[in-house]
Amino acid sequence: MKNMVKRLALLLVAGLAMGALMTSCSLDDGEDYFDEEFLYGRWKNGTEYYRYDIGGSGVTWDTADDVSESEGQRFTWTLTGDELKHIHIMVMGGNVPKVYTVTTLTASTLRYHDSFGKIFTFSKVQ
Amino acid sequence: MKKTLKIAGITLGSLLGVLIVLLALVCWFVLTPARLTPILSGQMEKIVTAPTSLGGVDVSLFSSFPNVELQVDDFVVTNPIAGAPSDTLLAVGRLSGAIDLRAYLKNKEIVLHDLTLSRGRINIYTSESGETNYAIFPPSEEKAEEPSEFDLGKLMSAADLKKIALEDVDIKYISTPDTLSAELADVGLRLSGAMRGESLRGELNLAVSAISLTTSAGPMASEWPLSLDVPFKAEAGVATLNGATLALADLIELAVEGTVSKAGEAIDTDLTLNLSELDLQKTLAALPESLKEMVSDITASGRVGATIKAQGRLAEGQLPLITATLNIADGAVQHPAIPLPISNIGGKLTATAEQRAGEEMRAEALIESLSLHTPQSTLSLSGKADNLLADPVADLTMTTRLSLPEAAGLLPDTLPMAAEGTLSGTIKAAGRLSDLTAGAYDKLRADGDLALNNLSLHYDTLHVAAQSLTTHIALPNPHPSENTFAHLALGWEELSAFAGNQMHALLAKGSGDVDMANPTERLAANLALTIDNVQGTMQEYKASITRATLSGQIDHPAGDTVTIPSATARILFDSVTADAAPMALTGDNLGVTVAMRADPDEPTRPVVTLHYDNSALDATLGPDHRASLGEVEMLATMIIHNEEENPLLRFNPTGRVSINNVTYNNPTLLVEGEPMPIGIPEISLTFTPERFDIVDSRVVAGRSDFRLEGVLDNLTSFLRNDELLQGHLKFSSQQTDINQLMALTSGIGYTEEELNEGGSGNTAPQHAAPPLTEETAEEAMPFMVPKGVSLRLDVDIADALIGNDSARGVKGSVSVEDGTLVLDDLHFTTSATEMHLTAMYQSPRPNHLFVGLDCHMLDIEIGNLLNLFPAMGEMMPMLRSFGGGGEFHVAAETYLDRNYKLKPSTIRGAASLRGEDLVLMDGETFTEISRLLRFNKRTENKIDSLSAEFTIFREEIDIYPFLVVMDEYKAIVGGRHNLDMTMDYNISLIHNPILPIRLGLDITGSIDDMKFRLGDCRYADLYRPASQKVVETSQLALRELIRKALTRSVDSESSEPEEEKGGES
Repeated sequence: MKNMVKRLALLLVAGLAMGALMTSCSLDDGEDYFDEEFLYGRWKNGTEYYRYDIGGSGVTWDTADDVSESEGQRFTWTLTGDELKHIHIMVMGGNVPKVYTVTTLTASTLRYHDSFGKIFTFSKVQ
Repeated sequence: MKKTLKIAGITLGSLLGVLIVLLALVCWFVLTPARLTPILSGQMEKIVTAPTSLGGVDVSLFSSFPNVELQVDDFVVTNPIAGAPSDTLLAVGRLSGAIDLRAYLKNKEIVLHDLTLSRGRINIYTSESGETNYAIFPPSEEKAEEPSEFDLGKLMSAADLKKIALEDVDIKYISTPDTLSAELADVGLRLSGAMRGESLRGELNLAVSAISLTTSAGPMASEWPLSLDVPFKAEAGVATLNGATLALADLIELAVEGTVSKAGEAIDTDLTLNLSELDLQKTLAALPESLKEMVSDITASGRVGATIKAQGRLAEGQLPLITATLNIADGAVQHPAIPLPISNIGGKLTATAEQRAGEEMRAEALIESLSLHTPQSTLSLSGKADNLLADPVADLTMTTRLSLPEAAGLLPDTLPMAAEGTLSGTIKAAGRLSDLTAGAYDKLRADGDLALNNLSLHYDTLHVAAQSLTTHIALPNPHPSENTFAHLALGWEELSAFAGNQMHALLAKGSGDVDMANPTERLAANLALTIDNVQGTMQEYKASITRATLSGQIDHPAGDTVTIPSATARILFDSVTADAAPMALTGDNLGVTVAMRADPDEPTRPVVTLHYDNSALDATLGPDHRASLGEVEMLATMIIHNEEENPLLRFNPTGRVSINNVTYNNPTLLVEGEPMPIGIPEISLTFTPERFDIVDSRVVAGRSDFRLEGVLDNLTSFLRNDELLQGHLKFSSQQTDINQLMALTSGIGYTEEELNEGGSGNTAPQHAAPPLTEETAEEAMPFMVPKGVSLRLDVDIADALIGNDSARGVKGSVSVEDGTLVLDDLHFTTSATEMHLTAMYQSPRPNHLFVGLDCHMLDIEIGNLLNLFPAMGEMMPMLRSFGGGGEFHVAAETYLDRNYKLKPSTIRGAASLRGEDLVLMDGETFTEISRLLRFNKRTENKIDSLSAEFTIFREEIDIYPFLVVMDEYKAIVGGRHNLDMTMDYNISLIHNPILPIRLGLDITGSIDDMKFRLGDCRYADLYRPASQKVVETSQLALRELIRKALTRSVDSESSEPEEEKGGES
């Protein structure tokens, strides 16, 4: 009897756990829309800069590392709904994709986060 | 008869007695002074226009019969003119003369036989206007009409002059226009002669007790006594002087003798004039003050004598043979302008002149001997010179013995040179003056020897010494040569040179020959020089040459100062030994040839050709380094552009170099415990200003052998910024032992201190580069890749030994392309993997350096991968948990600062790893994961397959979710790892044979403090297509993007179709 109770308790716990786990593995499919025209131009976060050009190209640089805009590294970008995708183009031939979820895009503020919850906030630079 | 004669005698005697009585009566009563004086005074008024006075006149008939002797006492002629010092022209105590009475009685002619002026004075004056006080005779119309032709015989015949005498007469002469005044004191003159038919005999005696002469230059003579004796004879048209002498002031004595005869219109001469030895010292002392001032600096002595002979006919277009002989003895002269006193001047010089009828006048000079001494030197000259009046031809011999100390004393103070030794020799020279002045030196002849003995020259710190140094000069060149002008033969023994205590050179023995062309036509010469036993030292450096042979030639048109001359020189060293501690050099048959000529297109531009060769050359550096070279040959032609600054553009070299059989040995160069010799069997290259071709170069070092070939092009164009410097080299090797080479080259370029610094108190490698100090770090200049350069080095190594492994078939290239250094697609195969490697380095600016890497390892053990790239294990520590083989692709790039430190914001990277039949290494982490995910303890830790992609962006390392299949378990692992060693991973267990549930495990924290927590099963649907959502699909697409970009180059080379591994698609 004791073993039966123990097994039932285990099954219950396991069922609850499985239900909880299955719930945690699902993602919210809802997405927002942002106007990419707000994205064009230079954005700054501290010493880190991004420039989004019309046509989906851009460069990024960090003045803390003594890099100027003309020396910035190239990337391509797409903004689909709230997904901002950067594909950093390596000179050696590889690509480094980075995907973010935009939460704010106005004429002056850009905010997004990655899948690890890291939030990035930029302000527009004229 | 006797009676008749007696009567006639008595009659004649009576007549004679009467005549005598009558003459006595005439003399007694008619020829008295009282009667004659008025008569003569009256006659004088007719003879002269000037006033005269007579003290008394006396006539003696018997004392001078048949002549009448006339004596005039106190005879005075005055003619005062303005400016004259005296009114008196002539004043004598007695004027006497003898008149031929018979000539007077017979022909009414006054024939004067004797004229004597005694005890008087004569003043002759010419005024400024030319008026003279001796113009006292009335003008004679008859004389004016007759031509005044001099006829000695007629004059003597007409005058029958037996004696003209001046006795104790003072004569003063003043000519104001000529600024000339002369005083002759106590003049005694006697001119006597006798005319007998055509014969005239006579004698002139002149004695002056004191002559004083003053010209515009001042006093010229002061109370000089003079005596002149001229006995003469003229008969049968021949005038004879026999013992004529002239003595002046006890200085000059002249003697003349000989004959002068008239031959028609010509005069035949045979005269000899002897100048007795003139004492120069006395002569100078006797000079008037005005002249003494001119020669006041001269101290001279000696005796000079001369003889002048005139022999032959003097006529129109004809001169007698005149011979002048000058004898100099015991001469000495000193003058400030002559730096040395000259003594022992002696010699004999003869000059002759003659003009024969119908010929040009000729003159010759003969120097029988001429010598002089200085205190330490001698010089003598002899020879002759012909044709002096037209084109002199000289043949001279000069002998000298020159004291070098004495010659050095003549140098200016600005050139303080000390000298010892003598220069002695004899030179004979002959030639025409016209050839000399016209520069036709090739028509001159010379032959002589000069020798420097016991030479020692010392100037500042320079010192040159020679036991003997000889030169033989010969014009023209007696040896067969294209340069026929002259030949110089040189020779020396024990020639040495010092420069302070630092440099010393000794040329023990040498000889040489120089053949020269006429320098006025061509600057051309051939030189051949042989030097035995040359030794040189400079500080602690020493060199010796057993024999050096120098040959050379030069050829250049004379007067051409524009065109570069053509010259060639070759030096051949039989054997050379040099010691420049710690370096030493020995060589055999070293030859250097240098040739220079003008550029045909630009005569001012030199073209130099340099050729070097040797048969053997050995060099040592200290006790350890020893190199030996076989045959070396270098030929270079340089067109020199002096206006260029860059050496390559300035010299424009074209040529070739070949070196054979080079070996290098170093007993301390131990590799694997054994000395490793290095050999270079052959180096051969050619070069032009634009191109450098390495035809062949082979190196054998230990177990390694190399061959380098290729081309560097556009060298000059690159330096002119016209073209890229292009190069294509090929490095090939059958075997390269990198271990040996690294051991061989480790530590090169670093000092012992620098090397030891790394080993003090830490475990850093001894041969690591020294750390940068803070100061040097700020100012460090990184390697800047050249711009404007396009170089490519193709590498082909059959077998490269690395560590305990070897890389086979190493192929690829290293290139520098206008600021970019690329290690391009290097392929090789090791026991660990087959690797394709591409790397890039750029240096846009010193503090912004790009470095990139693209590496593909198609079959590598993960353990080997982590050994090969330790940083990979630090960035992705989970790899340490896997064992087994797989393929690995990685591309990474970043920028560095000038100290080669990473710029974190610029780091980009992507990697792809695929493996099968991997083993999950047991460990604390795996144990914890197994426990939390409820793995069966009997679960086999073998992973069937693994396919993962990683990216690096800035400091974030993203591990894209990948599937791990282990036994019956399936899990998806993904997450992020940061360079600060923090992490955020999730393991989604999507299949568990025990539990039908999906478990998720979050691993966070740092590598030293990992936190495990059951959490969401984030990637539950990632590998279930039916359930994939947008996010999962995107994740897989990104992985595909990463992998395709990474494997593009490898896939393009592979002919096999791409094989999907991992099953994620």
